[in-house]
Amino acid sequence: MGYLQTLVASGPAAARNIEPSATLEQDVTVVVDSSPASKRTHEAPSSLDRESPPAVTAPDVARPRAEGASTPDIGGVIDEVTRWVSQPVTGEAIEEMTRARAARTEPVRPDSPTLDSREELHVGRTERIETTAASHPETNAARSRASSVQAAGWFRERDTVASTRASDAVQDGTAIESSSIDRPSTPERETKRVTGSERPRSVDVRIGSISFTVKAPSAPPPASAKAAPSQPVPASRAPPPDGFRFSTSRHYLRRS
Amino acid sequence: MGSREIDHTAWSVRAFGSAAADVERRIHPRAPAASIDALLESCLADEEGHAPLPGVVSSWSVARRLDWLVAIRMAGGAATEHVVMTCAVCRAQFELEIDLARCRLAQDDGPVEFSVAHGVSRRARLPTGTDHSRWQSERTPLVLAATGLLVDSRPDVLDDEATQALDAALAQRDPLRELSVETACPECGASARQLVNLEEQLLGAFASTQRRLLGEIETLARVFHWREADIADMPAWRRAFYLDRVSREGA
Repeated sequence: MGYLQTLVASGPAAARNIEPSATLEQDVTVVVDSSPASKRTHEAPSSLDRESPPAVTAPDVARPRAEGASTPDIGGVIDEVTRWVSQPVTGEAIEEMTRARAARTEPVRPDSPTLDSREELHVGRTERIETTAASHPETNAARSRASSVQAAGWFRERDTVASTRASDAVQDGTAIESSSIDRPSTPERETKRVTGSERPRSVDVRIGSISFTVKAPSAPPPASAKAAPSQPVPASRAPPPDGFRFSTSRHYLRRS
Repeated sequence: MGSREIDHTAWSVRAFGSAAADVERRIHPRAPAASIDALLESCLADEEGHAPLPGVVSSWSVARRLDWLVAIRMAGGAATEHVVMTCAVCRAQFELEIDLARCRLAQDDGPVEFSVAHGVSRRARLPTGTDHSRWQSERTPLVLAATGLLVDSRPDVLDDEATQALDAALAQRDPLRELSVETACPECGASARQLVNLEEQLLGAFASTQRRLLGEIETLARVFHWREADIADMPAWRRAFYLDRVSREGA
């Protein structure tokens, strides 16, 4: 193989694909509304923390599943973020991204003084993501509600999935009133679809002991929100009547 | 890289897997440079008991870093390293024992000399942990990696032939990097010369030790609700005692 080759080839790049956590030992800075006061720095979790077992038994979201299996589509969220950045992202960044998506479902008033204010999502030191979204008092309120969704460790990503799903469902004309994503055997799991004139103004989503509200849009998303357009929800992603089911994630397979 | 300071510190070494620091950073053979940094910074101490300052062990040559890995492994009580080999003829697997004491060689971190075309002599330094880390992450072409090691004043880039000459000179100076062993298959008797990646082998053993330590911490924390750092800092015999008690009560 050669002396130098053993040094260059050791620890191949493939290892980074296997373990993206290896590049997460860095700060992730998130800037919201371009206001210096809103700048926050999140310490990325240590690799030990990331690998700690969950406190509650839950399905393994990181494991690739067979096509058609019921599994959280966290890969879809991750993929949406990684379309903008060229490096692995943390749960924090995904959560911020989801929050921005939820905010875009809010109505926009022409007299809003902060219309088209910018949202910037910084990941690492060099990558910058800019999205355009309407800022509005109600938007901020929704954002505040969304930020109340705090779950530790692995559950943060699941909550992110759920909130993304919920906002998708609202945009799609369907809504989830109540669901449980990580306890398939829980008897009280139930899903209600609301369509047409029954479309609600807000949806309460409950995941285990955590609940939050997603506002329904009274108007289509603003034209200015085009930097990161909401993806059309394919039929397979709409929650079926028998539960909060997720489509198989092709993104999983790509990331693993 | 210009002149390098000579490290005169008399480092002492302890076994890996016997302190809380040993579970702070992950040891993985696929991330050798970072893993070796973590191991050396955890297990080496100067005369006053202080760990090496950040960046010190990265500046050491890869040969010296591997030598310290062997020393740490031996401090844990291992006299031999068991390597699984595959016979090139009958494909049977067999185990090879490497005497670790014989792998500890006198270290010479001085530059190596090698000859290029027309008998011209060139000089290059040994690669360091910093080089190792950068080459891994950048996938540096061999010619550029070799050129970066030159310490003579000529600014030219080495060609493939010169790179191979430098490669041979480095392998001669640091023979443990690609440890060549003569094997005889116990199944078919075929003899062969095989290369052993001792560094990868050792890192695999350390990673296994770390996983075992984490498993013990998990078991004791689950039962006794002690802090992770406290359990990790326990002497191995005390951990073994408590684990034995847990095992007996569970049975």
